[in-house]
Amino acid sequence: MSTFAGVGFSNDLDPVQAARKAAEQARNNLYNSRIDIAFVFCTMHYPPQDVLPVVFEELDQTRLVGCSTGGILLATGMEFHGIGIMAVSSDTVKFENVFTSHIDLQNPLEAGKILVQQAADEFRARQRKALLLFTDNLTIDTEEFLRGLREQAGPLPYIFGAGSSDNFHFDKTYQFHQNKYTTKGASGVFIGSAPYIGISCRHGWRPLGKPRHITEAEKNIVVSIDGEKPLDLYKTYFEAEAVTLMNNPMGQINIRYPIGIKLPGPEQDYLVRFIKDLGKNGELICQNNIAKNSETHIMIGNKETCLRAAETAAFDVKGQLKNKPARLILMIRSLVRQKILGRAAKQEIQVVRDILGKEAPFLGMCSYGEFFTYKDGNKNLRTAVQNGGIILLAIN
Amino acid sequence: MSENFFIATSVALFVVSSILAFLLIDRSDNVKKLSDSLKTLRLSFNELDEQARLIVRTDLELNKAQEELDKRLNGLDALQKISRLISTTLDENEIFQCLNQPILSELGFEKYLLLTPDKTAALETRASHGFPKEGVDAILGHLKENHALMEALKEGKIISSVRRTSPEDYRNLHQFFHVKHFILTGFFAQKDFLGMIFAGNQSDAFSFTEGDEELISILADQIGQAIQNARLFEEVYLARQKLESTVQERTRQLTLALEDLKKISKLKSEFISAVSHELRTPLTSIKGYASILITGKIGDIPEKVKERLEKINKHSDNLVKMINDLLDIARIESGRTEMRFEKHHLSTIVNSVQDLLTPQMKDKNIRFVVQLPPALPPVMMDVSQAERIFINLIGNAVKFTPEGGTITVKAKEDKNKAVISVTDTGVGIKKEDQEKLFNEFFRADNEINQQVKGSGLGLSLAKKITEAHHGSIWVTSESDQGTTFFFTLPFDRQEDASAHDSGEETA
Repeated sequence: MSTFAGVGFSNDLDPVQAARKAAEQARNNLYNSRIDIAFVFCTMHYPPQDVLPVVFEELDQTRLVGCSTGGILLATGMEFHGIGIMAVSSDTVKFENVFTSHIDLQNPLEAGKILVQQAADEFRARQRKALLLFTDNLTIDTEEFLRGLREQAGPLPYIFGAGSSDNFHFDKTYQFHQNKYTTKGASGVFIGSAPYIGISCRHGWRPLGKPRHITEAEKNIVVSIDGEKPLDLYKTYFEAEAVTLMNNPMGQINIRYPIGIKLPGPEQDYLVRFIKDLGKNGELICQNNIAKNSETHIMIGNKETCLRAAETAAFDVKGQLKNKPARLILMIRSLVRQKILGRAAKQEIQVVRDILGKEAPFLGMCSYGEFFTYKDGNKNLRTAVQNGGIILLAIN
Repeated sequence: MSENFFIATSVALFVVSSILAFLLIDRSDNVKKLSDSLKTLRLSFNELDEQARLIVRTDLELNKAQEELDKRLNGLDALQKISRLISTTLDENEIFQCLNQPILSELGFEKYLLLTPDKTAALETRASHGFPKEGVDAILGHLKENHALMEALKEGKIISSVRRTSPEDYRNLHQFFHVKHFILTGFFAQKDFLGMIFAGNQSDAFSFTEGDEELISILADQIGQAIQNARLFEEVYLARQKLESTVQERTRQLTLALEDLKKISKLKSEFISAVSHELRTPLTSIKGYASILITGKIGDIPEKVKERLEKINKHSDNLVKMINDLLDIARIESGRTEMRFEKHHLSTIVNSVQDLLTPQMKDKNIRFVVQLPPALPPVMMDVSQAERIFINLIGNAVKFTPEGGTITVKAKEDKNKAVISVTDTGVGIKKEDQEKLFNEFFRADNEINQQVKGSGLGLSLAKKITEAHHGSIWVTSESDQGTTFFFTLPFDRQEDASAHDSGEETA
């Protein structure tokens, strides 16, 4: 036996029925093998207090990790209403799940360290290849939390994951662990001993115009770029319309022409920062932190660039799997990306499946912010938060 | 020596200075070149930046259009799915069950409500999504009080956050429905208000546009149409049910009436039979004694007494004939007459009847014409009974045809039966009398019937005998232009539980 996965989905109006149906389907598609871990994603129509106990029991009280989401990604497309479950059984891959709540009440750096310390030594640290996390990006300082994780996790090559989401209300999201749930917390799983594991994070936005520098920034607020107000920079591109278009956090400029921060390292990649709001003095209030003195560009993205990015991510993963077929595919996609892709959203799933294998069980969720690991200029591992990203995880 | 040293040093210094100067000049050139390159690069960057600005403006417009187009296409896709779903059912409850699924979410609405007025004109919820029960109750309460809003909806107005004229128009609705963006409109059948649909979003990511208004408007039309179809179908169905029920009831009543009629008819036949039997016995005595007295066996009787006795005898004969006819009718009706079906040529019977009635025809100088096709197949009949049909019809023809007239007997083949006609050039029968002609005891009101006595049973008997042969009998006539009686007799044996045939066919 190797690694197998079974996917179940239900959009029954009754949460308990939906949970039962989705769990049954996942189990049946796994041909009733022993379940080592289950990934569970629910849209906001399904209260976790009703769903999780049912799923936990139906799946023999296995390890359960997941979160709330604004959309569930299936092989057939995206569903804005339902419960999606991927049950995994493996002789070779080890899973160990971790959980913490009320990060907002703690020092996020310490909380990150404690999360890693929590993990029982089910398999030796050096066999841990990756840590997949779902956090509440709306309320916690994710960057600090990830820094704490990274410091404690040591040589763990890959920390990745995403922020749980809701249906564009930016209100309250949930993280799941076994038959419990929390808000303002984090739930995740260590993955280890996998012969081949492929992880990639891409976004699809490209730098536009000439490079500039963040001359002044405070956490997620860009105060000045090249000594000028950031709003003035946008006005040079969009004229007076810039103000109107940036009033809405999901406005055209905010998500299609975000700020990009150049990452140190060989990959020449960018951290995308969507603009949440305008400050009184023309500052940009972004989704996540911006480092002062970073090289920056206005970024441009559309559905074609997003699809190309998805393709690149899939090829990255395929290379990491040494071109062997994937046994399961987990996809995390920024909910904002969904808005950019529009009707091409389904196409993005098809692109990934075409490259990684149409037969592989597939499940995904839509997120508020994604995080991934990269190597900086000194080849040190760093974990950063991305906006508008697509993350792929495949195991063979 | 020191001079040479000085010269050598000077030369060396000069050479070194020259080399340094040369290097310096070269470096300056390079620096200048680099500076120029940097300037060119900066210019290129600025030019690229300018181009980027142009690209971005076009890109922005394209993206806006693309987003609107995508939204419309998604909306139309979802609308088509919904339309197909609700048009497959003609049950109003099923329509709303379909709409109670999260399918309307595919149109991009987080919350929606479909309300229709019940029999008391109060609004009731038929489909809802995204609202807790208490929320729905509160909304219904508010709508009940908001007469202006209901009036506007009934007039066909669309109320939405897209087309706000002033904040007051919609602020309350925001609060009650807990949404930032909404559309509210009624759905109609013709001009009748059937209900209303509310769709709303809390998130600014899904604010409404005029396109969404149009979408909701189309959806409302489709819902109205579907409900109207369902209601019409139900009306038709109920009417049909009622009609079927009425038909069944009438059929039941008619069946009962028929049963009653059959019973009455049977009772009548039995009565006639019983009475006729009872009458025949004393009549036989009357006739017997009259005959004996007439013969003078008991003693001589005066001539005048003899005349009267002969009249008694004659009338007794008439009465006996009438009673026999009644008995025959009763027996045929009740199936007690044994029919012996055999094949016989019509010509045989016609000739026999002609012989019988020739004296009467000669008295009135009536011409008798027989036109029977030579190839006419033999007919399946009880000869003695069938003869009585001919006797009655031809006898009547003789009675009602004036002197010098003509009676014609014809026959033709019509599929599996022979159609026989007896035509006279007599006085004819009035239209109103033709319907009752075959009723027992009926006699048409004319001069001849007033003069010539009859029982009124002949045609009734002829009809019964024809029907016992599985044939039919009818008449066509015009006053003063003559009459034709038609009747049919089968060529082959007909299945009938009450009929007995000889089992042999004769040519």
